[in-house]
Amino acid sequence: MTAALPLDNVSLSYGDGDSQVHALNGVSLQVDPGEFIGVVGPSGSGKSTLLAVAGALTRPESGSVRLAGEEITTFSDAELARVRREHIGFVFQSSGNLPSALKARDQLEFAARITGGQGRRTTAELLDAVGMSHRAGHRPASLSGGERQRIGIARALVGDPQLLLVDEPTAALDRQRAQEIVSLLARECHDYGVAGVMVTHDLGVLEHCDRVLDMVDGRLG
Amino acid sequence: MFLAWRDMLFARTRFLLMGLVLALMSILIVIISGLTAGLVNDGVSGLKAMGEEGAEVVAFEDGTQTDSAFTRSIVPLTAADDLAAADGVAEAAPMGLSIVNARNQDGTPVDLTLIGVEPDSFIAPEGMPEIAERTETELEVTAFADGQRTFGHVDMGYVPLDVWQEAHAGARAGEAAHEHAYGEASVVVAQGTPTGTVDGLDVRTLEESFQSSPGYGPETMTLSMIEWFLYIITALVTGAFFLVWTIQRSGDIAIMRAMGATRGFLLRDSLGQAVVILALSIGVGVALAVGLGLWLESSPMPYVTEFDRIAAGAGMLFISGLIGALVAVFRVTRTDPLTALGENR
Repeated sequence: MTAALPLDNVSLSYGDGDSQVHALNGVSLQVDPGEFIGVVGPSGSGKSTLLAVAGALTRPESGSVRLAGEEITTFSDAELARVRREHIGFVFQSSGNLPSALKARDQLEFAARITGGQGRRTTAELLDAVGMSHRAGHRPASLSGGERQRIGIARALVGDPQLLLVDEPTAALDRQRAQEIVSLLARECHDYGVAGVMVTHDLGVLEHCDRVLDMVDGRLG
Repeated sequence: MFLAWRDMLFARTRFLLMGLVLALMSILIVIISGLTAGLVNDGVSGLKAMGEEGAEVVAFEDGTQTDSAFTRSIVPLTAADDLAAADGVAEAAPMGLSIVNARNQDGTPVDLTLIGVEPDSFIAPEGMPEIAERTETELEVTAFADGQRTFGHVDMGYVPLDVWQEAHAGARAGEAAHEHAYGEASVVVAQGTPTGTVDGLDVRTLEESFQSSPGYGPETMTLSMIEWFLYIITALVTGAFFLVWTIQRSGDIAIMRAMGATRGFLLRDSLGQAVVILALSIGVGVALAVGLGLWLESSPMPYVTEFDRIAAGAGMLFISGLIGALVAVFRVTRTDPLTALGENR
């Protein structure tokens, strides 16, 4: 089985001279389809930068990033956007990540318009998969933090991404909700062969991960 | 336009307010253009009517200032022959023009623009009398010229050239004027444009001669300046609105870019909103203003509804608004999708 996300010796730093910060320092990582891994580490350890590089949001200074068989490190901004549309699903940290004008159902319809296709599952099936069928007609303002996060997960799965990148999904949730959300993420990755990478500092939800990696000072252990 | 429509409905109060401002701007533009057309008509409709009769150039006494030149210029009648003989000129006729005080049949004092023309010349309107009956200083109206004919906001009355010459020279009823008065007119009006200069004459096109109607220049300049200010204000107001709106939803835009939305997709979505709000508001505003204008036309106000002028004004308003929105909305293409990650939001 080929890895969905091979990162090879990837480095990226901010600033220069004395103030240079190695956000990523020779990071290598392989995630297989259907595998859900957790990345933990203190603030500023480079977790978010790892997601940015793996998610084709930015280009590393050195090393190799391959997505769906394409080496993306030399891609233009427009090509990176295409890779994101076609292969990547993001679940963002903030529960305000959903445009407030859109009802839950429309959040998914809108994502389908951006990605250019619905994928294997219909909007109704995706809403059902995250347990949100009964809230399809609600706007974000009338949903709870956990419900918003479920809609965010369903939206990330529109268009059948190969890679699901999750940024601190439980930051605003209580323990019970956090467990439900992370177990939902793990189940979706396992059931649909999606490679999942979750960045978190919530140690209580790691039991749902197939592997847990530590990130310290831009190095992955 | 998927998100654009839903955004507009969701934030309808904001968009309604913006639409209201744009609709009021459109009403203002239409009213001002009607007023401009009305004032222009009041000032030079008589000259325009001569244009329809074939007049292309007006020759003034050489050295006459541009403003109010019609009433100041004096040319000898021989100038008409000189101009007619010039290359490129088909026909030339002398014309006398003065604004006089008169009384109408009820004895009410009125202003009258007395136009003296040779009755067989091309600028003489239909029904022009061969000889005006003059009893004391009374002129009998023998016919009405078609359409509106005013000069400097004053109604025009056509009289035979010799009657104008006597009135111009200040001759009383029954008196003959001095010999030299019968050799003068104010200007020469000609069909065709002379290729060279004609001695003693300052030849201007009919359009240029509009400037010599009293008040024409200042009136049209003031109003067109107001129109240009309205276009600029529309661009700035629309730009300011969409700038604030774009900043407010910069979070959504970062998310959309992270999801892989193309620049074109984002621009279409955002500019689509501008196009919809501009088109709807301007459409409603213009419709209201045209209705209001038709009512104004029946009032004594100098107001004329000219649909091509209104269409041009509405078009300019739309373009100004779109330019403002474009500058503001261009920010969406520069939003960094990276800000969707972490706690930046």
